[in-house]
Amino acid sequence: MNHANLLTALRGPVLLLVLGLLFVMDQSGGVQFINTWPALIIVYGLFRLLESLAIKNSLGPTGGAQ
Amino acid sequence: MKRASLIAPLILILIGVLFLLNNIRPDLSVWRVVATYWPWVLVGWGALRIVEILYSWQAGQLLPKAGVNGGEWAFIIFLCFFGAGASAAGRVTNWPGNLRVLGWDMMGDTYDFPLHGEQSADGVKKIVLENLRGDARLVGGDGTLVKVDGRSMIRAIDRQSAERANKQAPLAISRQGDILYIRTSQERWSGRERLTAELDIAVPRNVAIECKGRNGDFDVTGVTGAVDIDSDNAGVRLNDVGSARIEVRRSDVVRASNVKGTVEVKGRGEIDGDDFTGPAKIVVRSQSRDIKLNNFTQALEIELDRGDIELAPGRLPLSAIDARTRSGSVTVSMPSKAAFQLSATTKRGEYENAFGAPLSADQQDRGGVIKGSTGTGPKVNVSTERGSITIRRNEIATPSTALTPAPPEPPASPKLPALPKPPKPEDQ
Repeated sequence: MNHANLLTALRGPVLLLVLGLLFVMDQSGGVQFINTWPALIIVYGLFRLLESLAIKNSLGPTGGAQ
Repeated sequence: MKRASLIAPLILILIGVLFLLNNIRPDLSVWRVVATYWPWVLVGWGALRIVEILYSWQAGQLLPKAGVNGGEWAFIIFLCFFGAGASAAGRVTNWPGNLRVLGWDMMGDTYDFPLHGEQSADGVKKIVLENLRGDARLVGGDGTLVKVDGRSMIRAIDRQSAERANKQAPLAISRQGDILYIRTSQERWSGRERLTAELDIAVPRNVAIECKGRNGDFDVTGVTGAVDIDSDNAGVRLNDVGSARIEVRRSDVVRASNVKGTVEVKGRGEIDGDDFTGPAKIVVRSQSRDIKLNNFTQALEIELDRGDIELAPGRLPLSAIDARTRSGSVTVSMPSKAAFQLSATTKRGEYENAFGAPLSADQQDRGGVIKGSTGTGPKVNVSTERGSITIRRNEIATPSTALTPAPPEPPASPKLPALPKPPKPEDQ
């Protein structure tokens, strides 16, 4: 099974979930969204990182050279 | 085969239910709930989509290229703006059971009801005004009568409900000991109608004033007592008052001129001060926006989180100044003949000594220090962590006696227009 595709498909929904949670925190009087938004970049970056790792793994030790 | 997602239909159902609820149960204040809980739509949406994707992955179905597509993102961004706006509006209005979102206010009409009341304030030392919503202007004058004129503006679907609300929230003037209370009683009405009162109040000159409100401007002129203003959201204008204590959570501007005693301002908003006389102390605590103070003689203390500070102590002799901002520029215009000991620091930013000798400027790390003494005088300490520092020479200043002319007759307060005569109720 291809994990890279799964990760790509999950990226959007997870970002959405995190976005929602950040706003929930903002609403509940916790940390303001203005301060927490960089978390979205981090999550996005993590996904891209995991995706590229997954692609490398699925292509074997040559590291994706085709 | 890719199964159609459940989310679009669910969101449509949710929107339909909300509108329906709003129509058949107006007492539920649905939009208030929406303004509070809308982020959970994002959370639910994301979670549901994750489950859907994991499900199709498990079942070996073809995965979508993107879990959330472009159009959906556009909708999400719209939702975020809408939601953030609605919750911001909710925080501002903060009205029991009553929140208007994006033009919901447009429904219905505004009905005016005249407000009028007067009572002798003989022996009264303090007047307390409680007007949750609306602007109020208090003017001190001769005589011992407190006279209230104005109107209550009630936004309602029809005249009948406006009248009902008006009956519940009468203007009340009552006295307890030497305190006179003026209340618009808006908090007594918990229905959907929104009550706003515009008041014009004449008070005796020698009283203290206390104003409490949530949303609306306060304008106080010509009283010799202390003025105390506490509001969630207010523009404040004080002119010719004994002393001032202002606490506003939000504000577009706080303007004070001709204050004889202590000035204490706490809050967010632009602060503009002019002609503070007498041996008093100004404490300004502001989280954002700019502070501009001219012609003050007393000791000054400013603590600012973010915003620029502009100081021009126009009178001699000077008193101690201690002004700090974390982020923002500081400009101080010193009278050229003033005696003071200056220490101005920026940790990161430019510095300019336009005053010249005997002050000297030195680079320090990424910022600079301007230091020096023009004689035995009070300490002037200003600092910013990030921002520029400028020390100017104020040539206009001449020694003390010539410097304190009687302040010119202040112009009429700019923002509050004269109250129009309230129309008779039948006019509507």
